[in-house]
Amino acid sequence: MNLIDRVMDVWELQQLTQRTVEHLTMFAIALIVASIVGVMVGVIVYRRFRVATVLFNVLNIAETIPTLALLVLLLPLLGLGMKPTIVTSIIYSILPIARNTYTGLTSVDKEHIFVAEALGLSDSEILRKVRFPLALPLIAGGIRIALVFTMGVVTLGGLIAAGGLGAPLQTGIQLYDKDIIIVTGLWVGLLALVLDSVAGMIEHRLEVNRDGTR
Amino acid sequence: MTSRRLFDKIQGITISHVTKKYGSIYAVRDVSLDVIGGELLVLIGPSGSGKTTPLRMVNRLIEPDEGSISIDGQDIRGHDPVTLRRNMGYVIQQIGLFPHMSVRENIGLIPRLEGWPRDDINARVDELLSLVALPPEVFSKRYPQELSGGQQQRVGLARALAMDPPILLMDEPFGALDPILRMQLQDEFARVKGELGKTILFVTHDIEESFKLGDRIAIMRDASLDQVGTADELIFHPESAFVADIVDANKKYKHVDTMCVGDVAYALDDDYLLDGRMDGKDALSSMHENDIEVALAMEGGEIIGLVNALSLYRDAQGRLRDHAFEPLIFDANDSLSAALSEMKAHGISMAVVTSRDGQPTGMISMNETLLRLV
Ligand SMILES: Nc1ncnc2c1ncn2[C@@H]1O[C@H](COP(=O)(O)OP(=O)(O)OP(=O)(O)O)[C@@H](O)[C@H]1O
Ligand SMILES: [Mg+2]
Repeated sequence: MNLIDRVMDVWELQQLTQRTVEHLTMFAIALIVASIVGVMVGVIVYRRFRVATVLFNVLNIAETIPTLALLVLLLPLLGLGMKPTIVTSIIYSILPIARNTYTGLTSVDKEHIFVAEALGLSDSEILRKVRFPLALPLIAGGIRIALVFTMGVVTLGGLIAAGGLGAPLQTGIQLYDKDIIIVTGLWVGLLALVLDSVAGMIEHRLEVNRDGTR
Repeated sequence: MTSRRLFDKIQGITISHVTKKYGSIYAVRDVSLDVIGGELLVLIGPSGSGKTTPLRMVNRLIEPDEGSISIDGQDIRGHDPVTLRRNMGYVIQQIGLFPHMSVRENIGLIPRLEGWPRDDINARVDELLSLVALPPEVFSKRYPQELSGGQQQRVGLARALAMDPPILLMDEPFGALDPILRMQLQDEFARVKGELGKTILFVTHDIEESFKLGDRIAIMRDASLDQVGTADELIFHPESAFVADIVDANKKYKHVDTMCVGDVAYALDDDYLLDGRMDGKDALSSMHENDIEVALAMEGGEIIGLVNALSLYRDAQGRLRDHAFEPLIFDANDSLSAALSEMKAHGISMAVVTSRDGQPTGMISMNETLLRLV
């Protein structure tokens, strides 16, 4: 059997097209929700500085719990499958996004803030029109970190019957089928690489735009 | 949020016994100053003498520890700071255009927040860009980093004027520019200032600039106000050696009859000399890089003509020489009064100064020179 046939074999037997769709669906839901929540948390924390320390400490603790442990911990609450996988991804991803949002908002050049005040922008206008847009490259950087986490957690979801590309990997390991492991493994790696480069391009583009040269 | 228009034309700003202390250092100490409606009042003094502080007090960026400020008799503490600031334009030395907004967005920012219709904003931005001599079709879509320093400064002024505020606060707006460009912008500003009819508080280090633009000049020293008056009052009746030294009577020319063109010219360096045969676009980028707006097209040591960056932005096709226009040229030893009357007769405000062998060495500005005559 030649190489292409062996790859096609695995692809069809393991229903990799459908698995990929499942995988990317979980990935997209998790990342989108995490981005919205993460940015919101970052903004709230920026507005109420005292909340910041507490909240970041809590999220830091969540971050140190091993992924697998968190997945298992959520089982009694959410059962098996996609739900705990997505929730775990979100919990992991909020911290980097929120942290970068907060850092981005607070590290805007004082000069710009001063000018905005002098022109007569209110605090919330400064946040919307100056701080937030200037923080976008850092926020995008946070989302990019979250993207890598999410890809990992979603793959682990295979262990708790979440479907996605973790499932055939799981099968491959149990059957000790090298073909399945290699084809699925490489495919997951390739997907992660492509998604990360797209995110990297967006991040870079934002950075360039912040400099005003496009 | 939208904000009320507080005043149309103002009678005056009264700064009354203001004091501001940082730790044990006084930024200003018991300063009282009346700004008359419609005038341009210059605040001048050495670095750290307390020029910026009163300016920032007027729009409540700094609140005085003691004393008060009122506009048309009304204490400014009665106004919401955001509303107050939208009724004043503010231009700073560091320019401070927002890097993530185009020229149009920078200038239109406050009108947009005020909820103006888009068409009105666009029309206003175009009008303001034309006022500061930047063709809107070339510049409105650019980003600040694509502009030279002089162009950014013009946009900063346009932004300050967006709401047509009756009061303008300017903190060393031309401080960072090349001398010839500064002279040009000062000339332009002196022109628009008359048209605008605004009350302007203007901080500078540069006594020449204060003579040129100021209706009155206030001299700051060590957090206190030393003397306020017109240029002539300060020159002829200085109340202290410090004031006499700052206005240094020699800086005004008493004997125009005996002076020659070379005495008042600004030196030209090599950046200003471009080869007339070079491509118009290359010439423009070189001028842009050196942050200059006029240059001389030269060929074989001869002056072909004067070129203007702003007209090259509109059209830089072909060679530089095709865009040059003939300047007035004076020898450095020519009589100044004769040169000025010739410029006046031609309606030209700038002329080229050459050395005996015909090499360009400098430029003179008619307005600037006239203003410095007693
Ligand atoms: N926020 C501040 N904290 C501490 N000291 C300050 C602060 N702002 C101003 N000062 C001090 O107050 C004095 C007056 O400041 P101000 O900015 O008004 O001076 P200036 O004449 O505008 O100076 P420059 O010519 O350098 O712009 C200076 O000695 C300055 O160091
Ligand atoms: Mg200052």
